[in-house]
Amino acid sequence: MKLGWFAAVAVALLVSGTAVADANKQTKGKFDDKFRQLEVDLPTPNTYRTASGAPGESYWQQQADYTINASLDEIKKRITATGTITYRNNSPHALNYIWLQLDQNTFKEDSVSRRTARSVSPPMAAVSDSVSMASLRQLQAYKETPLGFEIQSVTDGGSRALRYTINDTMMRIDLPQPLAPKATATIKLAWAFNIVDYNLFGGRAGYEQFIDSDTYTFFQAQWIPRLAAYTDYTGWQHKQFLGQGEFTLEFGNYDVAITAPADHIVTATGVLQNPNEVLSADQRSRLAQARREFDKPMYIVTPEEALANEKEGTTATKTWRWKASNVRDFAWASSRKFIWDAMNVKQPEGGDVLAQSFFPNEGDPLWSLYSTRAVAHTIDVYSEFSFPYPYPNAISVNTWLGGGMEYPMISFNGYRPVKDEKTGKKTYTRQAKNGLVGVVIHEVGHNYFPMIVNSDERQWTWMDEGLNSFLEFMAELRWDENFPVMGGNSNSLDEIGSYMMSEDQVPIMTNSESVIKFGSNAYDKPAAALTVLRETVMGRELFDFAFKEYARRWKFKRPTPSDFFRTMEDASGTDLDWFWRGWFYTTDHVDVALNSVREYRLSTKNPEVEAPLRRERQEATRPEPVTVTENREKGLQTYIQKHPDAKDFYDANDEFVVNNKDLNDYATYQEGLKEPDKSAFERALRENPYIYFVDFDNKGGLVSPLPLKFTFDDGSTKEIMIPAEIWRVDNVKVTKMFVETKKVVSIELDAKHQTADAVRSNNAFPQRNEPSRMDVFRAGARGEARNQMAEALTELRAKKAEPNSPAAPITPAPQ
Amino acid sequence: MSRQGCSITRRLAILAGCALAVAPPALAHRSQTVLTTVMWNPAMSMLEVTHRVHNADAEAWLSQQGQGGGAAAMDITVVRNQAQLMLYVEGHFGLNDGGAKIALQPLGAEIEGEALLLYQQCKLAAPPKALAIDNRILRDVFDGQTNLVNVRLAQRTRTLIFSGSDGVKKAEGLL
Repeated sequence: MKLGWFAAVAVALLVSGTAVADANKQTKGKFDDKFRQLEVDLPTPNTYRTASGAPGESYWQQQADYTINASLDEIKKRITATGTITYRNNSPHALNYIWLQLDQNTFKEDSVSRRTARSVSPPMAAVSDSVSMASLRQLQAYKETPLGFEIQSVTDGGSRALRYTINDTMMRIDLPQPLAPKATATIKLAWAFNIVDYNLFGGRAGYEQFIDSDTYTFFQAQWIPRLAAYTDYTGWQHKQFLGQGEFTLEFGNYDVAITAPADHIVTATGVLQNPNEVLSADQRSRLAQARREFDKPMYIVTPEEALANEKEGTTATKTWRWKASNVRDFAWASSRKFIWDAMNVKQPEGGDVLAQSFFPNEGDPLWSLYSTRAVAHTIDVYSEFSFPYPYPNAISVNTWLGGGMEYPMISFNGYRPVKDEKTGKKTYTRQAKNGLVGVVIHEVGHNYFPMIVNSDERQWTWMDEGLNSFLEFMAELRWDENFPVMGGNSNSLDEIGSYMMSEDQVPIMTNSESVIKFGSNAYDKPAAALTVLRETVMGRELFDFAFKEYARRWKFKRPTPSDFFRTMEDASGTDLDWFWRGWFYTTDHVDVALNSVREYRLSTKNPEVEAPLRRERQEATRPEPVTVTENREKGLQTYIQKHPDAKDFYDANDEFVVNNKDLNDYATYQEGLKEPDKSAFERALRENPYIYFVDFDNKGGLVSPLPLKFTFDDGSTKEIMIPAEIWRVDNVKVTKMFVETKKVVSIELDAKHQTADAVRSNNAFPQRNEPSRMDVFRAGARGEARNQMAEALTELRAKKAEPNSPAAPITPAPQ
Repeated sequence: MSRQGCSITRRLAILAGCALAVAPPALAHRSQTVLTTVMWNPAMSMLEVTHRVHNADAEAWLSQQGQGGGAAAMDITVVRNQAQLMLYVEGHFGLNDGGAKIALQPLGAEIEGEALLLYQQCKLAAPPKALAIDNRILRDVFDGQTNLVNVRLAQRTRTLIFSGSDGVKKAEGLL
């Protein structure tokens, strides 16, 4: 079993002789230094990874090249393959064995993943037991078809059998001699496996059956026994595949031959080597034309041709040959149902890219309109943020109804129109369109992270999903300013608060397999964090330069979280340790309350000016007691009124009257004022500013910049950004003074919703009553809609009571 | 199997709806999710429930109802269709407070961006200290449907996840 990340760091520090614990301890009081530097928590820099976050002078990574011959048996739904892996050991270590990933084995009935699948989703306990129909069908399917890799032979380059040991989803191959640094090992394998039915097992690959037409699409990934990564920071990355932590892989070159039914269209990672053998003359001609088309996609296989093709079938086969250079994986798809369109993308700094889509008629009209355009848009936007797209192809394949999965150059994506059950007409909504555009951007975007910036997905999901979701949001808002990037909202920072307030979450820096609420934790929260970092903390100029520097430093290399954290600071000149600590290492959320505002004017010290002002203030703040008012109205006289002879000096002069002592004190004060204080005081009196003391409370725990919007009595406004460092010596309460030339009538914190503040009701002075959404709804803002809903409910209930579909009651079994 | 001499064999609750189930989503992109928020409104002494359903998911559900009528029958912006979904939600979401079912009443629905918000409410004397929650919304439509319920009755926010074969779950430590 692999060590957890923190444990791995601790071991690394022990080995290097560095202290493993933070020497700083708050031994009195409870002060929690949220700005404490991260050095003691990050791995010690070394010659492989520098303190500035760049690859070091001794950086190395392994290389694995593959030559594979594979056959798709459409009838048996089975892949049979042979392959040769050429593994180059670029590490400074001799290797006695190598590890391969057998990801198909996760589908085996006795896999660790399957045996440890929980019956109840954490974190709360179940009140009652139940089982879904889908689970029942899956259980039955496990009995019918054996799944997982069938390893048929493992030999060296001379065809001598090699000893191997399979440990769940990992296979260790023992080498006859240690593989020396800079040496190469050749491994030959033969294997087969039954393709999983995606509708039953889900996952990231398989086949989809279209029941109405009894037709299929095949989409293959994790289909090769692939080299596990061997790295400087964790050795062999052979943490078992339990379903969430995706794939940690080596770069290499692939030479793959795929034999499929002759009427299939096959698409794959890489460049097709034998178009003359597998494509018709028309298809080749259209493909050449598409390479000259930069405005919109054109068909290589039209919808009509695909529909006609899927109705036939053949027992003949064709072999498609592909080569891919410097990729970390290889995936492919095959079907006689595929429509194929393409357009070219011209890059300002890189070579042309052919954006392509493959989809069944069931995906149209949506896919013809948007898939390939979304591929092209992704390349445009992502390249701006990182580096030119380095591969010749970028492909989107429709393989299922929802979701998506990424591989080098090729991605498997969902969303289709819906068909009216009665009319048979297909239609799609704006939501389906946005769903398709969003998923294509996301999955094609994964080419940059992690297919090229090759982070360790088995350890840190956020490094690819989080960074990619951030860029996805950027690209979506460049597609459409109102694009709903998260939870139906174009501002992810309005949505992430509800997740971040929950007690049932884990820090982002949690190992992938232990993450709960995967999408919110590994996708949404880091994407929101980077949005805050770019738009609020760092600003675009600093962020964009640093982010691009990270992408370019680690292009075709393997970064770790510390490399990202360090590069973002190194390239921007910004201490962000507090940001990483709060957003990535804790479960705090942003909730800053603007608690109180106190207004002051400068005192002149002149009693003849100040005394009347004090009198006015007292009269304004202390109204006459009701008792006095009532007495007067009833005609009651005070003792003094009845006995004027008892009056003295104090009855004629209130406490605010100016006397000689006051005047003398003022003169003494003026004489005592020396330069430069005297000039400063006199200038301040001339300007006569309004002085405000504003109190902020950090209720959520996560320190945050304070974007403030002041509104003045003349209607003008002013915006101020207080950096997060204001919290550095007290991260719970802070008071800030503001000096203004005009009277402030209101102050709003985070008026532009740019900090992910989860509670907005305490963000304004004077405090605003922030009614809940339901309060607003109840208040009748949408009264007409409410009435219509009530009428519709009445009608529907009368027409047909919705057949309730609860779980069947549990009854005791016969004893 | 027995435990302490007492049979624990029972008839098991089956989550219905397999006939409608469609493909589970791939894991690399987010799965279908309904986000439900349960909150306490002290001013009205009201338990408020908001279900946020992605419009595309709601429309996929509508398309399976086989009611004809073309695109209009699948358009979730149509109030009648929202009412249909509200009735469905009533049958697939429930709250129970210490053994007593909380009788949620429909308040209404509205579109917010790409989501449909469905509102339910129930007047109670005090916020519940614990809740048993059943959430099967759209889990009979999408095999991979994962529903989140955020319960925030006072200062604490607790989250429950409903997916796979999950049945009724208990949320404690709410106040």
